[in-house]
Amino acid sequence: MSFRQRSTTLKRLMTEYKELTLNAPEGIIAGPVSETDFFKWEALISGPEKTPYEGGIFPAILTFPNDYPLSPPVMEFTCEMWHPNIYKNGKVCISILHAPGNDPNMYESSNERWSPVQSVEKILLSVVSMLAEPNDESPANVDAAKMYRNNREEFDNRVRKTVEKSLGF
Amino acid sequence: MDSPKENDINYADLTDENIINYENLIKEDEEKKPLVSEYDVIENYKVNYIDSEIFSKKINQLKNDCKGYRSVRKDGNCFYRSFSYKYFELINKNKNSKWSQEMKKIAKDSINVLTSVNFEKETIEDFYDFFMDAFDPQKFREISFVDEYTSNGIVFYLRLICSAELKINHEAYEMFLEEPLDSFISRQVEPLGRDVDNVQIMAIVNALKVCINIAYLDSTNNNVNWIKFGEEYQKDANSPVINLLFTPGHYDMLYHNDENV
Repeated sequence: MSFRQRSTTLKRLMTEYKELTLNAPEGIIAGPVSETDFFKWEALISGPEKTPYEGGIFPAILTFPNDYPLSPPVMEFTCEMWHPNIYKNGKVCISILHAPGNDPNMYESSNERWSPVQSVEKILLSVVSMLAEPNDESPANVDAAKMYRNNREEFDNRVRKTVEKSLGF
Repeated sequence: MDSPKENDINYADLTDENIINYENLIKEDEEKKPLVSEYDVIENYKVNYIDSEIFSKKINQLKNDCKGYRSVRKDGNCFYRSFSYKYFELINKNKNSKWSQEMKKIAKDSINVLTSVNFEKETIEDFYDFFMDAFDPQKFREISFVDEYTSNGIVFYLRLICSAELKINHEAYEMFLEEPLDSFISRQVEPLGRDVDNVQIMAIVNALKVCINIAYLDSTNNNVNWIKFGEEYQKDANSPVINLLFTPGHYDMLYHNDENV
């Protein structure tokens, strides 16, 4: 990675961090894990109200690529999550997080995708919307998607258990 | 492990995952190629998907006008990369010409145009610098299209120029779109790796006031079809024109017979 690339990427990450600290959207906290590594952030997301995720505080790690912001970060929840668009290993699968030119699912062509004018803040807000409104047409967790579609009550109960776990009960 | 024979493949069994893996293999292959190839004579141009007889006929037709080409990587940015390489190459070839000076002035002002449609200066200024650096012949040769981050940054900046022009003069473009302008821009223009339609080409031509001449080489029996965008910006016969070659799904650069290489 050239000096120039590193400086562009770091400058951008610092600007975004500053912006997020000054004007944090409600229910979202995010920042670098340590002062020595700006390429790894921790985020805490509160479950949106009036959804089964309400009350939960869900931790996630954002890993930024060397060519950020030309390519998007990867986001992975580090707690147990039950959601059609989150892989069982915690990785979040929404269109705004897809790398350039990578279109693994044509259902998502109608959605906003990553471009360098997007930001960490927009990603986190999209994730909050995703929690409130799962997209079961392009599932990352097929079992969760089926349950969401066929047995909403069971789905909601399962989610509430992850909420309790996320709070350490 | 034996590789499967052609008739062993059951296409109905192909999963999304298989297809994505296959696409990734092609992508990895493509990523080993340089962003922009060396200049080569037109006879050596190779293409997929076109019947060889029709294709060699068309290459022969092209020879009437063009002597050579450069290829760019097939990554969905091919139009932006081909265009910007040719644009900077023409400008740097004759740095002090009136045309080159005009081009530089328009490019220099582009950051003001972009901030006027609410792009944040902090977000875009490094990419603006990448773009402006390419007006320096040495940086153009050694960095702009060699270093991947810089080259993709230039592609991104050109996408923003296109996006700003679409927003500012939206009434000239909206009639060509099948969706609202904002969604077209955020889905088809600003993300890297999305191919162009004629609308994006028109917007770039109008924003930078350049003339682009594209040779369309397809598998029909017709002759090679040339289409000029921005003819009004070609003020006289000496104004440089950016010659590009379109083959199904891809753009490369062409060198006209009277161009110095």
